[in-house]
Amino acid sequence: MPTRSIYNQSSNHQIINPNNLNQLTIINSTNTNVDITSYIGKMLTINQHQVIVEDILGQGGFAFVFLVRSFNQQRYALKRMYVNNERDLIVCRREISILKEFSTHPNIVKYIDSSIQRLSPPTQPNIQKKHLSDDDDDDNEEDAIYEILLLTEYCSNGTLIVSYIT
Amino acid sequence: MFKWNINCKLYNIENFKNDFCFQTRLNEQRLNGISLTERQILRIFADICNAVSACHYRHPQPILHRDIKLENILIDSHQSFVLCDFGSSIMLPSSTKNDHQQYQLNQLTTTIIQQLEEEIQRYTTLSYRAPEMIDLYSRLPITLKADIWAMGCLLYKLMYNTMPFGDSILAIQNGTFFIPDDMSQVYSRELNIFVRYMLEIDINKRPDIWQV
Repeated sequence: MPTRSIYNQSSNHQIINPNNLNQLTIINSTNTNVDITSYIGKMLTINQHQVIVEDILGQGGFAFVFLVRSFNQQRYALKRMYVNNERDLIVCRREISILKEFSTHPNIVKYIDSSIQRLSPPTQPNIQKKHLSDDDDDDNEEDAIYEILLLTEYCSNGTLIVSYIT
Repeated sequence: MFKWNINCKLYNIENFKNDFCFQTRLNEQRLNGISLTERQILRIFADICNAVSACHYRHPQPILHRDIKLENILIDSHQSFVLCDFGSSIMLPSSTKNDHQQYQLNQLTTTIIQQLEEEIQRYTTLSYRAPEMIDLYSRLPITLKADIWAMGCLLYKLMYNTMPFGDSILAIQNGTFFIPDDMSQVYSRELNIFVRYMLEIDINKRPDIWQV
């Protein structure tokens, strides 16, 4: 299974989100175990929505899901993804457009808002390029990294997992 | 890779509390825990059918979710069951013959198959994967029916809290699964037959969402 995590590069750079409101969002890319709990209390902007991170609902691959709260005390789930190639960006765009389209369906998770933002390219593009071409032969896109924020309704009852008490 | 599966730690015990005592007694030998009543299962399954039919009936390009599983079902504030994580979904090309598929048979070159294999590894879950997704070199069409298979797996999981084929590729390919011996009386015969109906290896015999 190919990993394209932006965290597994050998370079020593930091990615700084250009958005002023997100200036505290600094990711040390050398550390594979980014202390995600440091996000709690941070303010993020998703297009029209400003929210504060309250908790981490989980993580997997290169996506994180936060529990966030807006200024009118409404709670949402925020999925944050990083992608470093065009193909994955298309996948994210597709996910957003599908959720948008079905936002009124009672049995599909409700879409609220989203944003796609291009982050500054890494400071060492050579290493980045090499890294990309190593596990991807069809990669000739530019080495931009995108941050995708996807705001949906928060399902306070969690996932439907039948618990087994042993 | 874009998974929400994290929330799975949030066990939803509250909802089934009322049935807890009864159910525990009922399944004591096997479970030490909770299992759902047929009624609860059907409610959940009906909600998910609703969501899936919205995807499958999308016109002209239906959506194949590709990752229908228990972890991707949430309960919203209205106590409805909602399907999430469309990060693995694809839109199938439009077709007039109602046999939407990602690639036509004549497009399936070795390169495409390898690409598709990588995609399936990445975006789908093995224990819910349909037989046609396991052996891509069989060149069976991957259609909306792949979601139906996953729904069959989901229903089985809701009933017996275990996966019908585990992680066994061979079992998936043979389509062989068993109902746990000590659970055979818990659910109606109809419900068990319904599971088998969806877990049909032959794509042409497997029902579509409308039939389900």
